Amino acid sequence: MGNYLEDANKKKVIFRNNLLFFSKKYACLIGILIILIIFFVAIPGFANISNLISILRLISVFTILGMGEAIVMIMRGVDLSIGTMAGFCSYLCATFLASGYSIGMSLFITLIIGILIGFFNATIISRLGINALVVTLGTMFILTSIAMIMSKGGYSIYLFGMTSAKINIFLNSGKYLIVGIFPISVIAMILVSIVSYSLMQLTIIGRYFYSIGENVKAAYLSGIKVKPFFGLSFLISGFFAAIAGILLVLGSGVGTPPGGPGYLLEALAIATLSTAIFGEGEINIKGVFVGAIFIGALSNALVLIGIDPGYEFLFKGLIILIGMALGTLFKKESK
Amino acid sequence: MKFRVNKKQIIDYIIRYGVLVIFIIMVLFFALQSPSFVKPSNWMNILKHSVPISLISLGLTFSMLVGGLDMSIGAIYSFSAVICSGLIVAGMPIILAIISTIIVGLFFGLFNGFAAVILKIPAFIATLSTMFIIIGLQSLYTHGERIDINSDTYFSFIGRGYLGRFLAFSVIILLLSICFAYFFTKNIKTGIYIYATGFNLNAAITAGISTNLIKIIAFIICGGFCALAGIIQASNLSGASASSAGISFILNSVVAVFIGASMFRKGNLSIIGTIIGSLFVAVLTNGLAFLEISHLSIQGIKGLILMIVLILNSIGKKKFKYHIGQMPV
Repeated sequence: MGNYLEDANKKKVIFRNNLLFFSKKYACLIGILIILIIFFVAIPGFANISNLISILRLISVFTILGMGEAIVMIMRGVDLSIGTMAGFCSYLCATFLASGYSIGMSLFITLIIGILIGFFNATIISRLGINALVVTLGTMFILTSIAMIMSKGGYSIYLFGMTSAKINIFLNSGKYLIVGIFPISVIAMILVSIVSYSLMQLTIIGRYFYSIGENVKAAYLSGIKVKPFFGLSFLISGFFAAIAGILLVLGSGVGTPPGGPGYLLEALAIATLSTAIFGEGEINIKGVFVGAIFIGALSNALVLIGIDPGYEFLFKGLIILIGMALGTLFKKESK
Repeated sequence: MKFRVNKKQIIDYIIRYGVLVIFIIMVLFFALQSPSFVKPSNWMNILKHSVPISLISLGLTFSMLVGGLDMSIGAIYSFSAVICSGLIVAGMPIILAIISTIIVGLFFGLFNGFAAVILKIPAFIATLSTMFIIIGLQSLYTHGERIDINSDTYFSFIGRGYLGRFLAFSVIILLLSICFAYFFTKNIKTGIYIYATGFNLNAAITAGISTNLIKIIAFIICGGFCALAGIIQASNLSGASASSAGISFILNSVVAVFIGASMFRKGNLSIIGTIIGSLFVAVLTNGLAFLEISHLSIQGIKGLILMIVLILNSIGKKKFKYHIGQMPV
């Protein structure tokens, strides 16, 4: 009899533990799914094909920025300039195209400039050991100013008004849809996701990144060259920001000089939300992917509802806060 | 006699006085470019314009002393300007409106402290999300429109009034705030604990200081100063708009605080240093306005100056090889 009771208790405990584990791991994911389904059903025009395409465009930009930000934040750095960099690179790309460079050349130069800005950040931050937060804040404003001076006060470059064969090819490739729904930027998104996932999870570099983020002193003492690796993350975020910038031009055909933080809020929200999504308590690439889908859908839904733009800031700010609070909670439990 | 040059000493001097030299060169340059820059009335004007920057930088100093860069300062500042003007327009007595605005600022500080210390979210993420929440609230409150305060001489006296012919009232408020901050950090136990917590957290915990409480108090003080700055700005412009919100205002204060840090005791924050840094920023802003440079390139120049100051700060510091500029935990 007693044995039976004990067994029942054990089963109960195991069941409860499993439930806890399950809810920790998938609660956020299920919540996000439910919200997405509500969007699909309740918001008129959300499930429209053309709207889904524009959401996919948005998501692909968000994912790429989120990946860059996440890789930096895994090492306990932060890149506040990532949104401005994306805007700056989109403006540069449009400028190069408009001034007659070939498509390949202008994309190449834009990517190189993204990496160079990342290199600038990396040199100052990791070489001199200055707090990443402040340095990237400075970079953000410097980039904004350069773009403003280049554009003589913030005038955008409209590519679709121009009658150049090259620009038409560029814009048409932006309009091209794979299987009728996936815009071409989705390919870039998937490529970037695969590259960053395999970089972080499968290669030794990713292992180094995680160990630097966890305990930099231990990483240094075990022989990892911490400075180059920390700097590398800023190069990666600059590169990704440049890709996102190119996608921005590809999607809209307009090169707008950045007037402020740009997509910084979204990038940070995605990166911090990823701590909560799979219950790992730490920033992870899988979570970034899901988080980007959520944030992209949310941004679009808020626009469709026609809500005051104030709510958008409010919601995203709250999402950062809640996601991070849940993430730290999970982390504490797992330790 | 051989004149011996100590290399370390020279570097030390460069770090301590490099910014001061830049400051003097800058003033001379502006004076040569436009003679009206050096008029006493312009100096009072600069002081008057430096009041909000200085107050916010004072607040930022408190939050940075306990190791958290408060990203929400600009948002709290502009939101309290909006709230204060809104309350006065709604017909609330001025004193009550001011007090409730300051309470709002303190509340946001408490919110920051709660998120950063109790929920253990990294301070900059917590305050950044607060910033976005406040921007949202502000946009909901104003709907993007300007709030105008009409015909209220008592309220406009706070920002624009003069005692006598020369001394602006807002400058007196600033002086009082500086005195408060200085004596608070030097003579009052809580203020000394703030320094202790910032310099060595473990030592402070071992000494029996409840560091969590101290950190929260620092964030609250930061919010209060930002609210005060917002009130003065609302009175200055006799109204407020939502456009000045957000991340752009952080730059001024961050530059001010880091310039201050470079001047005294090699990279340590201090109240007086922060005030000198804010004066630097105010003079720069004013001088560049005299040269008719657009305000968007002013931001870039400030960003560059921030970089230079940071590099100067980092030269003299003793560092381990694994100091790579990560965020504090």
